Amino acid sequence: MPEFSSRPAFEIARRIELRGTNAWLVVIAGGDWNPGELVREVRLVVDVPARSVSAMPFDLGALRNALRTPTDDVVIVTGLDQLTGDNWTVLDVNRSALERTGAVILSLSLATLGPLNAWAPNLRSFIGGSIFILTDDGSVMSDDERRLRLEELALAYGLTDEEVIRRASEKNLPAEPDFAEWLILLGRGDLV
Amino acid sequence: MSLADDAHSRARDLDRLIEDQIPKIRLSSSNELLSELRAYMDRQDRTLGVGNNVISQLKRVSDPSGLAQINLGVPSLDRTSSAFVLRSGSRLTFGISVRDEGRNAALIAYRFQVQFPEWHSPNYLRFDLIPRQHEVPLREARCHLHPGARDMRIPIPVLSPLEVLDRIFFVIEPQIRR
Repeated sequence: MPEFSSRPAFEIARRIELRGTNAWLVVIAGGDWNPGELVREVRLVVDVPARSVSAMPFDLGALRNALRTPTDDVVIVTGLDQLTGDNWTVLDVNRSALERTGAVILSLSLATLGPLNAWAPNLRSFIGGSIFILTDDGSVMSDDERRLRLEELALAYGLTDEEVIRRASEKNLPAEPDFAEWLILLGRGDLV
Repeated sequence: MSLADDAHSRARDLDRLIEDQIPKIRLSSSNELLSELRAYMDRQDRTLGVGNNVISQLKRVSDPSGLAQINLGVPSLDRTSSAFVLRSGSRLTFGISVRDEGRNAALIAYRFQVQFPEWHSPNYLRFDLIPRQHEVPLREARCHLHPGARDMRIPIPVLSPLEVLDRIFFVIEPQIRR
């Protein structure tokens, strides 16, 4: 199994911007993944409309119409893990019907790469090496980052976490943005 | 009333006006707001050609009460902490506190700080929205500009986070030259 590049949704959207809007990509995501996140990042980063379309229940005509109405936005195709070998063959034979001016992102699980390679080699050639494993964007503050920030605040104001909570409870904290942040970092946003 | 009493009364009236403006700033949920800020900062970075790592600089944390904090870098004046570096060498950091309310978020507080290069005076500039009224609104309005000079604070209307960034990138940064 070749190794694929792991990228957050933001960077995958950047790839579309770099490759041009008519790119074909595969994004390998978990079963509970919500395509809304990638739709949002594409809209924000590439600054073009984006939407998701399900390939199920499988109907070539319906999928073709969905990809062509309109043809110039970015479409994320979901539901591909449920396709049969015959479905993939139909897509491969009719691949020219799927061509469009906007980018196409095929969202599937790692296990579905096998059927894609086996049953749809021509479609696979559209994709080339543009296969990415979707990862978290790392934007949620880690426990270590949170602890470090709390230490910085304590050093800057000469107060302990306990004193901040006590003074907030007594409504005796300075009206400073830093103290709102401090309380949120302590999980006490109720005291802001 | 004395002149000072009148001034304090007007400052309280102004704070009430600012207070009324805050709910009119409707933001996306903190998760989406972070995406919007990341896309904005990344486009600014590429336009400036500076090479900041926006992905690693932007962080979000939320708490059980529904409040969330989005930070860019570390708002410190020590010149060594993480910050978004502008073409002039100025260092931008911010912290935004919001309350998530379904698909939207309400603005609670923010601090945007631009620390200018060492040769520049003043040393820094801050846009602050404080989380509640100051005990002396005349000295510190709910939303104000801190011009980096002692305890001076100038009242300003409530700007959305992107509106503050617009002023920093398109109005302030181009003026920072030797």
